[in-house]
Amino acid sequence: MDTKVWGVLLIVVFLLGIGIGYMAKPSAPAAATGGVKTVTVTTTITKTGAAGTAPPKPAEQKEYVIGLAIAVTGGYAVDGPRRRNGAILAIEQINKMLEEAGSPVRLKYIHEDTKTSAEGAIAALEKLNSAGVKMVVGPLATSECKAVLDFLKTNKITAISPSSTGTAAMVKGDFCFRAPSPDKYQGPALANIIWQQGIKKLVILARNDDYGKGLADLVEENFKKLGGQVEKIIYDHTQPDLSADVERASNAVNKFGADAETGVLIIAFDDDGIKILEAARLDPTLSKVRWFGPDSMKRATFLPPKSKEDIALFLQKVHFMATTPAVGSKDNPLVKEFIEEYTKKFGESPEASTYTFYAYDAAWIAGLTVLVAHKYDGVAFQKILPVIAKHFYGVTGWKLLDEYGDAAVPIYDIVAPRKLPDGTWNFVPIGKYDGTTKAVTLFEQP
Amino acid sequence: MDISVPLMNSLTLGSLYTLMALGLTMSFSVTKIANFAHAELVTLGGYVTALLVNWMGFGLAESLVAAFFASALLALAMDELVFKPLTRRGSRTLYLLVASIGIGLIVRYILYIYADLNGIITIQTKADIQIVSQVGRAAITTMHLWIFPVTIISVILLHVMFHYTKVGKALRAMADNEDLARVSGIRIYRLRRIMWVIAGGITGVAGGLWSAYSVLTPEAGWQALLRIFAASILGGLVSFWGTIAGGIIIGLAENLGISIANEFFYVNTAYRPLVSFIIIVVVFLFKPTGLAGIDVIGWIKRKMGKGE
Repeated sequence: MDTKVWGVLLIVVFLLGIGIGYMAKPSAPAAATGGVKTVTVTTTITKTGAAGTAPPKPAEQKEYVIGLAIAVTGGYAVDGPRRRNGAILAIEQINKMLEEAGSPVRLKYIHEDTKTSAEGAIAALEKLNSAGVKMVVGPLATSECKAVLDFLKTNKITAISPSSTGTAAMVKGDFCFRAPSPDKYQGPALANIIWQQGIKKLVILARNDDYGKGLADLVEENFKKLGGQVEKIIYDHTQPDLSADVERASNAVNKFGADAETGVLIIAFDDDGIKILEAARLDPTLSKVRWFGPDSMKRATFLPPKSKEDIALFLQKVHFMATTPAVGSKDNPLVKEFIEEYTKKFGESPEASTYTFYAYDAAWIAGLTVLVAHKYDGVAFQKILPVIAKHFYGVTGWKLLDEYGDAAVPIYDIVAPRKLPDGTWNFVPIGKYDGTTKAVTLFEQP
Repeated sequence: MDISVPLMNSLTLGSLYTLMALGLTMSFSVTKIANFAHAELVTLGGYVTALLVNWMGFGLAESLVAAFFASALLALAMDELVFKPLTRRGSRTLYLLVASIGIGLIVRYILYIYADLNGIITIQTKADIQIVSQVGRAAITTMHLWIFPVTIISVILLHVMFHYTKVGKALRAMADNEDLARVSGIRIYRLRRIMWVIAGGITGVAGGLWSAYSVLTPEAGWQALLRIFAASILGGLVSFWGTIAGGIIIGLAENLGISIANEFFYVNTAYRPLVSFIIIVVVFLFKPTGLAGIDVIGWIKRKMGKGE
């Protein structure tokens, strides 16, 4: 066939594909598909004190930019867009508030994909910096935050990460704040929860990045302090197949004895997590012991309809429970409003990912900091943000920050997979862990 | 040490890598293109299978057939739109290799866009995988009953086609010397199309099986490409039987080998890709013809003093 005919055919098929893809998406968010969104300001300020007496003067329009350095490809390909959408919703709500108040100020966002990699994060920050951005929501991963610490300091850019929790990015006086409680709290939390479940021997299966290794080390250290034994397996999460690592975990469980005193802690993201669980569910040894996970394992990816029901059934069989930074109760009017507005705008509930809540709060804090500063200056933002956070109560609770600029109120929800009466699967809260008292409260058994 | 589990994993992965590498061996032997976009044939086959099973309720068998045709079509399009015009202009193999990387990137990111829009960046074919038997600690599942027979049947069919049919013989002639094949009256472009359809199709089926065995992302094929090349290179890039041996050796080395190295020498399993790299380097250094260049029967005869 002639090359031109092939070319035309390919373009037609490609356009058809885009059309089908667009139609298949229930309600694609307009802002989510674009990189940059510009808000046009047309409001005026009315003079106070002399209402109705003086004609309104045209206001000087002002637009502050907030950079969204949020990964939507790589390891965060599934969860990243949700978090980006959470931040976008917050910025839109702030703009709506400003518009209703008649303020001439507006916030505008620029999104850059950090690609879930250190190099990607630096490249994204460089692009934002060249656009003059001094306030950033992101990056998501600890490895990304760690990679941009120097860049942020050198260029005086203040950032607030919605989801980095690893110890590698815990630096005093830096320009990177973190909205969730860091792993220095989650590590002991997991160790305590697992220990209190009667587990004395623990096999840790963790991905080979700053988050995985950092959290695995913290759990190991704290679990050993409690008197337990630990076998740690760090796997290369970029490999197409992880059956050899699962086999290693199985051997470690066998050595400890596959009984009620042995458990497995899996620290994984979406695709590596599914690979491990798919291989583990067919392993008779690994099916006999209890399984635990951190916040990264509480994702919709591990449950139907995203994954096979066999994986959810395996998680239920091994009485899987995961810790996740707490979010407010659904009865909380703030949370209720957020869930409703997010669902309306993006066609799915934000509950699919805990960190969507954190991205929403992080963007609110970033926006308020910019507004309060009243000048677009990264150094001023760095000074003001902790004060704003101290007085901020969002959908993830009180955002008091510690000396490292990380959330200082370590309260975790304990969740377990459940098949709901309507036939759908979800992670439901079955308990709470209060890091200040180290108390584990279980409402129901996993 | 119980080797049943790593052995079973090795055979499963080896079979899948073999199936993926057969298409590469076939296309390289005929066109001499080291096609890096081969990875995307795997990924496309995987996505077609996953979408048909998960969204449309098709069975695995029908979905694999669809995966065959989807990847075959993509392979054909790659050749008609890029490789053939470049070859006609006298492009060297290096240019074709770089062009294949470009095609791979384009297809991969189109898949990314589609997967992102539809929330299927990570997807697994919801095939019913159940344990049918137990060998030691290793489970034989319904997936193994798919993977092993499909691989064996594919190899037998390819062998029969290449040795006992007119098309196969013409393809072998073309692989040996394209100019000579042309002057002998062989319609080389028609043959080339047939070859791309078969090579792409088999690779698509491999991708479909992979999507049921493991998990699929738009980078799945790219991540497996190193092993695919290693298996094919080990087979000498021209021999199907060599490719089978290559695939199984890669599977064994990356599972059983690394398990033994980990158990006795504490080698971290993260070093697995090193095995494939070492194999590629060693084969190119010492035996560029791979396993295909080893004349086992001749060697035995010589050892027994019956040879020349």
